[in-house]
Amino acid sequence: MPNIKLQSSDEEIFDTDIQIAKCSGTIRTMLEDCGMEDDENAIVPLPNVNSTILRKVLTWANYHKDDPQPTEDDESKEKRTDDITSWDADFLKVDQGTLFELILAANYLDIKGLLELTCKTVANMIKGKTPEDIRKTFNIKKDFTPAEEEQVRKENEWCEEK
Amino acid sequence: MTFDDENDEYIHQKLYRSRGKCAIYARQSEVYVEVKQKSNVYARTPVAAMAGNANNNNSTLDIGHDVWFHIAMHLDPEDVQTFALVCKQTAKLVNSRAFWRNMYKRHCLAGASRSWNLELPAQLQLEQIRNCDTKALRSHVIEALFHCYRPLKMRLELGYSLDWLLNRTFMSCSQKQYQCLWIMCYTLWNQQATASRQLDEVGHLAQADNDVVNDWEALAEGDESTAQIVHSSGNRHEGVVLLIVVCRQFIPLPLQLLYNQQQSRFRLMATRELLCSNMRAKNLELDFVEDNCNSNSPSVTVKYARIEKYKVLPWWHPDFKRFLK
Repeated sequence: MPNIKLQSSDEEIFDTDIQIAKCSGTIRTMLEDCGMEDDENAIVPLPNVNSTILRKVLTWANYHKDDPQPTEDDESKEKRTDDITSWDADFLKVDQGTLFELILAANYLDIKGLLELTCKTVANMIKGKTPEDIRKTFNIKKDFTPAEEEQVRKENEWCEEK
Repeated sequence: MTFDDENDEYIHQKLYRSRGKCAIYARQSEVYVEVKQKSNVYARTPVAAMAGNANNNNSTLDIGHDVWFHIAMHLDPEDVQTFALVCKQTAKLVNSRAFWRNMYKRHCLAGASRSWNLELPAQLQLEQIRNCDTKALRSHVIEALFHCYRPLKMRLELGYSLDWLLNRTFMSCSQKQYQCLWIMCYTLWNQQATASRQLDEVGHLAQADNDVVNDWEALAEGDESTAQIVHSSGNRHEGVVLLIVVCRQFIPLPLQLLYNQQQSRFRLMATRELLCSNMRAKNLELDFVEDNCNSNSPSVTVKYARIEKYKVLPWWHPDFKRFLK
């Protein structure tokens, strides 16, 4: 199986199986459009992904290399948040910074499966928590005035269970 | 005596006046407590900082709109309020068109044909709501979720309690007879009286269908302006909750709520559901207070004796429009 070289933002080179790299829509397009598939010395620059995150992404892609590619029909399907496999759950036992970086990397590299997985994980972290708990979890500053907060609460009162 | 000596002397006088067991004494007015300012350089970018530490490199991480956007696309409907209340950024996302389109696609079209769903009424089908403005789209999707999304459907089956009516502003009430029953309908809104312009708009729109207009030019202009208001504000009923009370006997409408002295509106302060002495029926009492009134004592109490039943219908309830005049 031919390999390809991926270069992270901190200029580390990752020699990767081309089929694994192609699970990324961005890399696949670059390879096809620039005709780099047959050139063994070609380097694909990924300026928005650092080496730590790229290593994690490639680990995930390697494990999921045989998964079927998500179709357009899958996109409109109801997205469940409780169907994460144990391997994926272990894979995402990382600090919040890395988790958010994985979301950005999955989005940049156009890896739908990984994007979905990381977003589901964060959505699960939000579930059942109060806004204050979420702010504490993600270290977010509350920037609402009391009036604005009340307005948002009223606008979304349909979610409430009384 | 130097300046420092004078100061020391002064402090000594203030603090060490006592000769007894308690040696330290200071008046409250002479004690100053100053808040120490903490540096909040990382207040908005803690995740970036964490990532920086974890990865030992200098790359900056943009934890902002993009990340929240992707997370928002995976939220369940019941978590929307919590998410919106996190910060202004999440609140803004929850009001975006993309968010509501995604919510509709995931929960109202999932598992069904890609363009329509038999569980939904005609006005909530994709084709009907596709081109409306964002506010209208939002309220249509919320209504559709209560038709399709199981956890929300369950809430409808359980019914809404009287607590949903508390602190809402009285807008109007009406009654009609159906066979041997009298059906009273109260319209209450969740905005405060300060939003008088909006209230008037809602009141005006609620009555628009029943108005008799003699000046046809004014009518034509009025229709145009009404259409504009509806278009710009989305669903005019958003925030409205109906209370439907069914009785066997006629009870006159509480006209005091409509014609108060200070042109202020009434707010529902308390409700009571009491068992009758024969234990076979229930009485319902509603305490209203004037919005401008400072006291919390009820201005008007409406009593319904031996009611058959009552129902609370928020604007997203599928039965809401059946009762709205």
